Amino acid sequence: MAKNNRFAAFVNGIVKENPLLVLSIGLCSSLAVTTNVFNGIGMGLAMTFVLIMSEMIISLFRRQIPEDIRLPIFIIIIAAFTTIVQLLLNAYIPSLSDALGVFLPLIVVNCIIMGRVESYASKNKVLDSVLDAFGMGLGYTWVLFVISLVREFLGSGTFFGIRVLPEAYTIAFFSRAPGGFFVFGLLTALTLGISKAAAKKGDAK
Amino acid sequence: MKQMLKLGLTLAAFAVVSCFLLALVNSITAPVIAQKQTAKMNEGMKTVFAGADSFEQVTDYKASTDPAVTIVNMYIAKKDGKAVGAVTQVSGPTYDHAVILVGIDMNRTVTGVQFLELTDSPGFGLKASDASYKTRSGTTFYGQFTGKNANDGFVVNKTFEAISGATITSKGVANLISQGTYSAGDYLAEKYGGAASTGNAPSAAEQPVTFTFENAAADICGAVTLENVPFDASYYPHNMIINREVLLKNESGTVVAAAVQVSGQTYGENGGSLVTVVGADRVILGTRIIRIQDTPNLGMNTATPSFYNQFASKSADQDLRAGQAYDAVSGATISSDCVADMVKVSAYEAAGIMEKHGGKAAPAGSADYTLNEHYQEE
Repeated sequence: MAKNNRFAAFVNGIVKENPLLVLSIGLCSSLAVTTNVFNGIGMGLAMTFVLIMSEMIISLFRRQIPEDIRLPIFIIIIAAFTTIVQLLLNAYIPSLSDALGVFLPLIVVNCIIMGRVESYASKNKVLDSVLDAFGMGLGYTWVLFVISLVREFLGSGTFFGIRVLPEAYTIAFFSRAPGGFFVFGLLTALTLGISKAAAKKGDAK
Repeated sequence: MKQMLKLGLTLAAFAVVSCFLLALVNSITAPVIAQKQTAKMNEGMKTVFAGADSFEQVTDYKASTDPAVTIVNMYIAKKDGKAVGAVTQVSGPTYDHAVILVGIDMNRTVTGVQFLELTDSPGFGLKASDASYKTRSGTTFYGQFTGKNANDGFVVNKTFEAISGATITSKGVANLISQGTYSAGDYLAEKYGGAASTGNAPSAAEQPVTFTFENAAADICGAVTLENVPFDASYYPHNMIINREVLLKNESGTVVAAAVQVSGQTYGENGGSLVTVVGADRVILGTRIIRIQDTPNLGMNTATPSFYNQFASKSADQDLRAGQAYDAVSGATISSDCVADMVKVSAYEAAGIMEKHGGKAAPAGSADYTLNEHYQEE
């Protein structure tokens, strides 16, 4: 495969096929944990790790995995890596695993991983799959980062736990679920708007 | 067959390799996690009981009175070899699950509360363990328990402030604290001369109970025989339906009371049905819920004894108004008021039956009673 296409596989997930903003999958955990930046980035990185490892292993064994039982095997692999992340975080970054709570084990059932594994990794070469996973993970992480940045700033008045806005000026709405949807909706609209405008410009040329 | 075997073996191979990998990671992380937890535990014990220099583990303590809550460990806090208090590790349900450490001194005063684990929702229940979350009094959620005496109980929004949007977590944590302090307090009282408990053992949350008509009559009046009374089935007092009217007779056949079952609206249409028993002097002997469909933990709690027992010994002729004759279930005012209306209607009907069987006559004007009337008549 040409170098160009590899780059495309990587860039794909960041904006064009962003799992959250464009594909709209894996939303529940992303809206739930984004009340502050630390959790948002932590969740993004944990998720990216599981995504890369799962896509890599599944792509590596894609010819050995029988079509009929591919889903149980995918689940075993994803669950194994999720558990590994959980154990590692518990051991080395307990504050993050405490903060993410139940959403950490729930990475297993995150549809982004299952979706990418099924539609990409099981059909493509290892390097492409890893790049795809990396792009998707990065796409997931940056959206989480932006959402949590806005929500933490407006909802709690802090940035990485450091107070930047007096408590009296915070809007609790943004740290609640509706605030998450609100910020997410605006971000989706913005992304769609920009990519549409860019496409038009491209056509005009 | 061959295909099946192949599939099975492939699946098994993946499972075995994954297991092996997990075991490998676990063997590396397990000691680190265990060490971190012990460190956290020791640090936690020091924070919940700062005045002690050593902790001695004990095992012969009283178990929790709530089956869902476990007292995992208990340590006697000692200073210069003398017992000065106790620390318990309590595990149980909140919104999801929590493990806490709670320390008390010899007077049953809480010396500190610390979370070892909390798996509730981030942004809501997790605030309970968040050091940056502040209650209105300026303390952390767990910090507000320090200095409270276990004998006063831990009552939501009376002795402690619940987290807005996370009432269930708040109550769950308070329940863990009650259980831990009760068991530890009694242990100290028994073995080291600590202050005795002045209250009852903390009980598990009161559960709604429903009765059959017969069980309700027996529960209120003891052994009685039931005799159905004919009634006008087309008469719907205040849009309620009278289901059954019964005379209760004692062993010698004397009428002792009358019972009337009505159904009506609670929070939803036809949401409940109850029976009220009234004696010859037009006083409510008791009321029991026969059927209720309502929101769990809110409207359903109108079927708890602490709610429906409020109506016993009220007159069948007095208005049953919220805040005067009874306290509504918190968060379920409409359900409570509708149940009270049903009690009033059934009690007045029952008093009417008693009147025909030698009971007191209705005072003038009592038929013109008012109800809470939350529903809209169409």
